[in-house]
Amino acid sequence: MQADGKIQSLNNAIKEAIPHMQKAADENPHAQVFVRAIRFSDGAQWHVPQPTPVADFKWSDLKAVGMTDMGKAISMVAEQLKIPPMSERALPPILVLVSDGQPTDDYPGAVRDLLALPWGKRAVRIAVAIGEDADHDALGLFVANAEIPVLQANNAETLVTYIRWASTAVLKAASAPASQSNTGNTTSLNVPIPAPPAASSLLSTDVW
Amino acid sequence: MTSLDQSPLWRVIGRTVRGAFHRRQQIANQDAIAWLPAGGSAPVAVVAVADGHGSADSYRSATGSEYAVQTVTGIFQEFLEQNPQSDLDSIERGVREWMPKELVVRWRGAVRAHLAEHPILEDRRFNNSPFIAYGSTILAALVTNAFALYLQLGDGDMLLVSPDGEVRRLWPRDQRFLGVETASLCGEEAWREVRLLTEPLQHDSPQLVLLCTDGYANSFRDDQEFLKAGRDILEIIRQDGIETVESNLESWLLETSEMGSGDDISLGIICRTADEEGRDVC
Repeated sequence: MQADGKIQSLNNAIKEAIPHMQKAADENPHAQVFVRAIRFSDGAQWHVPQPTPVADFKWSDLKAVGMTDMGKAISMVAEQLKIPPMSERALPPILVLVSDGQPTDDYPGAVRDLLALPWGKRAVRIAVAIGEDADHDALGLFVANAEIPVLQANNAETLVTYIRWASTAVLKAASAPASQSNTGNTTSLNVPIPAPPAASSLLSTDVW
Repeated sequence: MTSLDQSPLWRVIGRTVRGAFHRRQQIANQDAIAWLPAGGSAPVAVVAVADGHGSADSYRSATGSEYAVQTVTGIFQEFLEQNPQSDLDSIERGVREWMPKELVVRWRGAVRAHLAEHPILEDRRFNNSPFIAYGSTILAALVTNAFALYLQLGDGDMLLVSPDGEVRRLWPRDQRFLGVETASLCGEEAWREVRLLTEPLQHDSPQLVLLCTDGYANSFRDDQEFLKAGRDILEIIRQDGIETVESNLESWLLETSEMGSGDDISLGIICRTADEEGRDVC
């Protein structure tokens, strides 16, 4: 499977997840859910530039080109997690990092800066590795939580399932108003992330 | 020297409502509220609100918040009985030395008694601290005709409204915490997290003292809107009477949760019965 096939599968997975994400957000009208996206290849750019209410969220297809400047993308996310523009009273952001390759820029430094931010370390961080060429160590550095595995998607069906899970179950968990006891020393927000669907139970067709 | 004369000075009303999110999820209200006197006015008033965390780990937090308000009101009453005529410095010293640890010790004692009757079986989450299951915040105020004592552990807000409607938040938000994080009675060395303030009450003392769990402030678009609610409540009390506020409070809070945070909301209001000119207010 070529990179074009993987990226198109990602486009399809995101489009497929949107109505489910909107439904999950509808079920909790007390949380305002906004979506943004960054694409990274040679450099990184906002793909969905403005925080977009989930009800208005649409996806335009990505194309597979160039390098894997993940560090630049992480730095751009980190800029937006500073206070301001983030509010101290916000619900925890959910960051989903999806990659099929290996970072080609200063990725560890960018992740370190992200995790040094109050909202960066408290964000729910999910990583999806597409295909066998994805760099698990790099994605694990981003997740930085032994209890949350890097999700491995080796086919289109698995990718759909993981993207939908991150867009619905994780969204619901992060947007509930339950308080979390914190002595002030904890380094991450204790959002109870539901277990991801087991890869073994998923259909396999075209393997990447 | 301060003295507690018998002239009625304070009146208390309050409500706690189950949040809209919890109604949809069929989860019980995790907040609790308690106040004294139960009705009418009195020279001494106490109000306490508590916000049980409501998370999966704190699945007994409705019990924890109830214990919190009962514990702190009991401690306040006991403190008054033991210090009927002390100067403010002695009161402040006594409060700081005794109250934080006493609060946590008694709350944990109540939790232990509950655990003895309702043990948590085979749940590794609670091996180190079963108190997490009961996690709760606590906010409480005691007012006499001589001084006010304010206590807070965890999130929530305490507002003082002056007779001319100026609203002062007693303590700013704790900068160590973001979003739904909070200090808690269930935390290690929770007594270190107790914030206390003792203030003399003179002619410029607050007309209203408002205590609320964080579901209230989180329902407003911004902090200015939230603070304005304190002034609005005083205006309604002056224009329509405290009975109007009392009879509408539940529906107002339900609507606030529905249109706002979805969280449980508790609001306790202490009203000074007369203003600085001696005119009746509530």
